Amino acid sequence: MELETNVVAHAFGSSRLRLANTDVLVAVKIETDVPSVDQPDEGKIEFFVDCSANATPDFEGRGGEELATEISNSLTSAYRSTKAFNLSKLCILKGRKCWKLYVDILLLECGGNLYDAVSLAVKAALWNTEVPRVLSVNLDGNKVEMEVSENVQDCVKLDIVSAPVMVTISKIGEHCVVDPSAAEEQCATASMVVAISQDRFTTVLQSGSGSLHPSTLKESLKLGLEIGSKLDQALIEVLRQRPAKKQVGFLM
Amino acid sequence: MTKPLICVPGQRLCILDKIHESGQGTYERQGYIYSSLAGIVDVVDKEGVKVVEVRSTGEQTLVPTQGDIVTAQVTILTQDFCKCVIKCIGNTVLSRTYRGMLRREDVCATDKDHVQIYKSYRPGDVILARVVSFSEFSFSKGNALTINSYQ
Amino acid sequence: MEGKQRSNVKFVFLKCGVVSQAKGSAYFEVDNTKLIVSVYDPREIPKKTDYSSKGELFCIFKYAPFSCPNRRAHQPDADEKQHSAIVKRALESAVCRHEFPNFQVDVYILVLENDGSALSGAITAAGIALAQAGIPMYDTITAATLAIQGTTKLLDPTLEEETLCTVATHKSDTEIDYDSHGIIVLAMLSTHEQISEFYQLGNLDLETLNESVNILMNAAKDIVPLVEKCLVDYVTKTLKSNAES
Repeated sequence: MELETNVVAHAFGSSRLRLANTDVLVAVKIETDVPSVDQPDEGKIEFFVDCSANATPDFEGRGGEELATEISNSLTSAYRSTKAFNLSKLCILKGRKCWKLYVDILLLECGGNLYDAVSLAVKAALWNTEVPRVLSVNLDGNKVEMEVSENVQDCVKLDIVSAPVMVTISKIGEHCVVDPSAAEEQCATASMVVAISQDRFTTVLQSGSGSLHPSTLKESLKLGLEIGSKLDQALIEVLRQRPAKKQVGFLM
Repeated sequence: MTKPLICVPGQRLCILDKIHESGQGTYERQGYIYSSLAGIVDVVDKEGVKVVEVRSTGEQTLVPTQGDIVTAQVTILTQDFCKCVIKCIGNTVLSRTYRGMLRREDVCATDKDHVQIYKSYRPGDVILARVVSFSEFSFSKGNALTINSYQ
Repeated sequence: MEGKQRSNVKFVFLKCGVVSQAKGSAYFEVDNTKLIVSVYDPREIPKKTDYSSKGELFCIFKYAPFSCPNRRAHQPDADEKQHSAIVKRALESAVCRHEFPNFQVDVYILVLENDGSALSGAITAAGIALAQAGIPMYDTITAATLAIQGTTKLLDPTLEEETLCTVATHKSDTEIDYDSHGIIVLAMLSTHEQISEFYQLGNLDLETLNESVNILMNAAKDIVPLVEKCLVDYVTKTLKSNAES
């Protein structure tokens, strides 16, 4: 597994993850926005997945759209809980202004196990994201004026310790397999994706057609929890070891 | 007249053994015969074996499969094939029509090279054909016998 | 909300054969949630060039613009697309897809009034509509929704309860630690004891999840007699009218 952060110069945060044959590039951009009416003290986060035609010829034109929608929907469900990702930290002025994070994910190569790779890359990119520090906010009539720190280095990091990590579990024959390759995914009878954040499940969904026996379901949930927690810890350790600015490729 | 036995999909009908066999509208799983439609159970005696079938009350959902005899109407003709619209499967008239294609080679069993499509069919003809295979989004037919051919 | 446990399924009303033009249809009502499902005959898959040995299901899940407290746009948004994908996956395990290869069966779901648990209602109703349409299925499919907030578990939540359970709350006023919360939708094939779709949102730990799976399975099984009765009634009615005509 190889992970690089800060690879895209124009983005506020980015990462590139290479997991066996799967290659994912994530970039985070930040814009200001007006918070939604039902959640006035929370920021917004939006995921957009693009399956590039580089990955497989099948993705040419609109071929990869279904897969892209599925992955972005699963990420939205995973990050929906406040406990997973605290959106209130993104608020600048309650009801008036907030930060909106656009997380753009580019699939460069699809070698199976897309959900895991994408969630790890997103977590790394968010860790790498620097939100400009807001020095002051003024409410002038109806207009909001805010002063952002001029210093590029002066920024706020996001707290992503509890950001979810996804694990794909496939049922092949009698066994539950984690981290399936493309060939294994094809012959799985059923597969599900679990998003784990700090020993808890943020979202569980099935990613292929096929039904499960209840005991298999429970077994795979347990397996997913174990693996997810380990993966999460390993990722955080690696991210913490590395200093924020350098561009270095790590081999886990 | 016995009261008809009604069943729902997934209902276990009987044990699968030498006497009982699963017919249309049923499937076998783990040694039992289950129903796959909501309808009436029928047990048909066929050569000493009881075939368990389920018939649904409304229109049967019929889909053309290999070997079916279908009634179709010719729409487009070219040198190599003619496109048609399948209107009936066997004796059932379809509520939704399907597309089919008849290739030049399949028009006549004998003398395949000298067949001329233009001389055999005209758009609007109703033909009887057998489904040979699935290919692309349409299926080819073979051994067509024309009902209304031009003179 | 405090300390409320509801582990009995609410009163459900099911009727099939409601849309005369559709091959199969069903109407589902529970409390204030009302929805209609229509199923149409298999048709050729448009724009498909390769051959597949299994048929396809095409599901569209739509909220009517007047169904929710805020008016919804006509264009399907991300939520509706995700629900369509979930219903499709749930139904795929139930339908005998090898009986109509290269064809697709259309399932259209319209929610007339949304007061929570529309997704599970849609799956149950779609199962009935498919059975009535004569599409071969492996089993009757039923679904149930469970909403969890802290220690309270509610079956078939209303819209208000659903929105409450998507928000994390503090364990108590003094603790900063968040509590478990979430919504789980489970679809099951009862005779074969297979779970065909499992969808969870929120933040839950493993034991809560395992307990919820058990509760949901029992709830889904409770709905099965209703589904069977609805289908049997429909078959008897058609038989009678066939005999009279």
